[in-house]
Amino acid sequence: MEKIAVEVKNLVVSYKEIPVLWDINLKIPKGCLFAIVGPNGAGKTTLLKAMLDLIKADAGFVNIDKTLKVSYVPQNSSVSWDFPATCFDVVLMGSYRSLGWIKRPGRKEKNNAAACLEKMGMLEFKDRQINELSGGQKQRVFLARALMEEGDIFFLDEPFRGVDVVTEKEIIRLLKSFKEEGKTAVLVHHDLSTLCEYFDYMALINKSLIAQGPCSEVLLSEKLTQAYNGKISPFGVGYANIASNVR
Amino acid sequence: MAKFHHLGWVMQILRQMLGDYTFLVVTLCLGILGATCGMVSSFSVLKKESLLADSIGHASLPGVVLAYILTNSKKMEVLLFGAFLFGIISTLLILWIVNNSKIKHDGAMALALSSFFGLGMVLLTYVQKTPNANQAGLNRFIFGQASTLILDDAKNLMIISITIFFIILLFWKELKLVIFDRDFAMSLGFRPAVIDILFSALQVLAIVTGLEAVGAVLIASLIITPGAAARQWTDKLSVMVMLSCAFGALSGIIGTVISFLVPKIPTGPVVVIVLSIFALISVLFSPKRGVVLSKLKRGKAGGV
Amino acid sequence: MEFEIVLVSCITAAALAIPGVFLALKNMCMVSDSITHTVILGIVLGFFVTKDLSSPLLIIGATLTGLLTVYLTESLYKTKLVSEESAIGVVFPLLFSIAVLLITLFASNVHLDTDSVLLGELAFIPFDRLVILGVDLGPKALYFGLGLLLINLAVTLIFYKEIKLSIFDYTQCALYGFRPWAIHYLIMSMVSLSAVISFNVAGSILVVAFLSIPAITSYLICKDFKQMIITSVLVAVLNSSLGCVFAFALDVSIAGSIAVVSLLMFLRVFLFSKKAGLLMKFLDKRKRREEYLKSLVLYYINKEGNFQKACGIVRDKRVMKKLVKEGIIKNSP
Ligand SMILES: Nc1ncnc2c1ncn2[C@@H]1O[C@H](COP(=O)(O)OP(=O)(O)O)[C@@H](O)[C@H]1O
Ligand SMILES: [Mg+2]
Repeated sequence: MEKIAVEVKNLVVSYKEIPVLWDINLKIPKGCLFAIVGPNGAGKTTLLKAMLDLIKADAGFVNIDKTLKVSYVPQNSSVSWDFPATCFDVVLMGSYRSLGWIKRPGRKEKNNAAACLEKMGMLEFKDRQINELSGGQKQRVFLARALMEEGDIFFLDEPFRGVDVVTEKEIIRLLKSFKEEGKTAVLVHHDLSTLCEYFDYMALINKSLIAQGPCSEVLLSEKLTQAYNGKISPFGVGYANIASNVR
Repeated sequence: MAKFHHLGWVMQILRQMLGDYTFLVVTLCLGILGATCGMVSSFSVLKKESLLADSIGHASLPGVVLAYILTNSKKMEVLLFGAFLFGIISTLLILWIVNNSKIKHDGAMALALSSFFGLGMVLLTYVQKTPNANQAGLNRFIFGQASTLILDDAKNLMIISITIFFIILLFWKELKLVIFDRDFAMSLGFRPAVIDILFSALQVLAIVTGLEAVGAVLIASLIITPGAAARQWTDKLSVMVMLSCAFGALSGIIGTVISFLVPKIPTGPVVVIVLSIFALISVLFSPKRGVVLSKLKRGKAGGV
Repeated sequence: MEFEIVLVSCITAAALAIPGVFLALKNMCMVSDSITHTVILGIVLGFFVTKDLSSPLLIIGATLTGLLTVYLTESLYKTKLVSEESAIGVVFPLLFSIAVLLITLFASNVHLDTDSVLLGELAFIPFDRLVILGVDLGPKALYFGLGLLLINLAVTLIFYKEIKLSIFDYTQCALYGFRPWAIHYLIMSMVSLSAVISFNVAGSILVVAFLSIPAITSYLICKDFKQMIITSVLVAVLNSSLGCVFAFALDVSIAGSIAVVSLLMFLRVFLFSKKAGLLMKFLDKRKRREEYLKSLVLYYINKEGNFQKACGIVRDKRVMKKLVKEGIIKNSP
């Protein structure tokens, strides 16, 4: 059996007492590209955040292999775009975790940052303010920042939103090269047509887990329509009973 | 001959200024104050909560009066401590209201600003009624009175300024990270709330120190304008902070000199006007983002 | 005399509460702070022109300066070089400082000092009386207040539909051909005029209290635009009368006391109102959370068939204990 990088068990997360994720059970194997797929508002971002322990879950637990270093590329909504930071500054921020409080990045970190920018083909834009880049370039910079963290498992929230095709392919190429090194990447993804091409495994969620497994298997089943049409109660029978209870 | 005469006049003024002890002290004070507020200003402006300074400035008034009522002392440290407490209280009140209701930042700020100031007025009128109360002078926290600053004030300002400087330097990386990308900061294991609290305290401290010299009404300008001006010139945080300090300090000094040369005029408003001129120049003529230059560029592009 | 003061402050507060609602809904409360400071510049400039402090031209000049402030602030903001709040904070201290300078340099011998403009005092109202043909018709401020109230009411009634639409849906308003910017400036004129007329009653900083506190208080409890305007006027009148009573009893600043009462009233609603109070919200939330966690536990007991296992899964131990204690769930299956 292959090794498990992340195990999610019985996870329930709610905002204001309304469950957004209901009883999620998930296993993410080590060394694979894993897609989290679902319609808008399905709770994909929430799932990612819960996995990283950025929001408190009401029930269940998440186990991330202790030996793995985690790095996270959030959905870019929280960035203050007008901030006076160059690409180089942004990438350098990736070293802050290992530095901890107060300690400053030194020569080593700076060289490393330049190398990461280089890897993403962004070295020539080193001194650009972050908002003067195109969507694809921004994403490259944020990926370079994630590289700085030297993580073993990457969590990327919709990295391809507003990104050109070239950059998208390049990011996937990079992630695949990571896979060769035994690293893991978990992505929130939208485009169903490229799923099989990019990813090994996927989880289909819409509040609760609808299906998981190798991409081709999940895509073939009728589960997909279930997730996207939502005609069948996403919570299944168990929830329907409880829901009447809650009210 | 006329030129020489002119020079002689300048020399005379200069000698007069350098010989004027009060003037030197006031200049020193306002220079330090400007630099301190300028430093804080950069971060306030980037955090998009600089108008909070206006609220805090006004809201600290009851603190001053209450401190006076309770201790019956007019020692600056005591009064400013009261102001500091009320500055913090008003900040917390604003955050509390915004986090727990549908009221937005602006409404909460207007509420804290006006009602706390009202409380200040109530307390002031109350003090005026009490016998043997020599309350004169509490008024200067509203409008500011730079000319009464003494060397002790300069020392206090220096201490506070250095404290703020070092704390900002110490947490530079964290401030930058949290303001730039809160979610990411959290994912790295930093606690944005801690940084928020720390910075709020620094901001209130800077505001409160400026109350005596500039007054509650105008102190907001010192926290808002230098940062807004400095942002136009650079895309590096360190340069922005340095510029913002420089703008603050320069306007403090220039303002004092002008109000020394022209009799009667109060220092605070002059400082604010000088500062605003810096801001105006920055917004219009900064090489990278300035309005004039981008108009020229657009004109060229349109012509071709 | 005290009655006159109460009357004037109630009328002024009611008049200010109306544009205050518009400001609050537009998220522009701090603009009121900005305008109340800068109208002083208009008064000073108007005084230089007319050489007369009681000229009605001063009111027009000052109102225009209020609009100028809004215009400058928005122009600065529209360059995208500074944020909205920074724009406010850059513009108004500048205009106010210029006003102060002009006063100290050229008008210091006239009765026009920044103290009285900024701080104002309701207690002096009864001394400035309107006397026509030897007949005492009451304090002047009363008529100013009434006039302001009438103007604000009239504008609101006439343009009710347009104002409402422009606040709630700016684009839609433009689509319907109403020129939302014109309505925007209409509202700002109301605010500006209100600030000009009432600052010698309340002082410019406390005008902010009159404009914004009743509005945000009613914002907490009202869902409907019309209801919010009416509530805010009522709250304003209530605050003013209570404030006056306290001020008379303690012999302190009247306007200040009204502002403090306004804060207390706001806090009362904010904390204890039945509909939106924090206390109710807190209790409600706690109840909902318990219900929610209860259903969660039941779900997992159902699923795992075992209380112990369900306990291991659901994290909130406090609620679990409570549920067991209340006998809602039993410790054994
Ligand atoms: N901070 C929040 N407070 C309340 N509800 C939220 C919050 N964040 C997300 N939600 C709700 O939770 C659901 C899932 O959100 P999210 O995880 O962002 O979805 P996705 O990333 O799949 O589009 C949505 O219905 C959203 O409205
Ligand atoms: Mg999302």
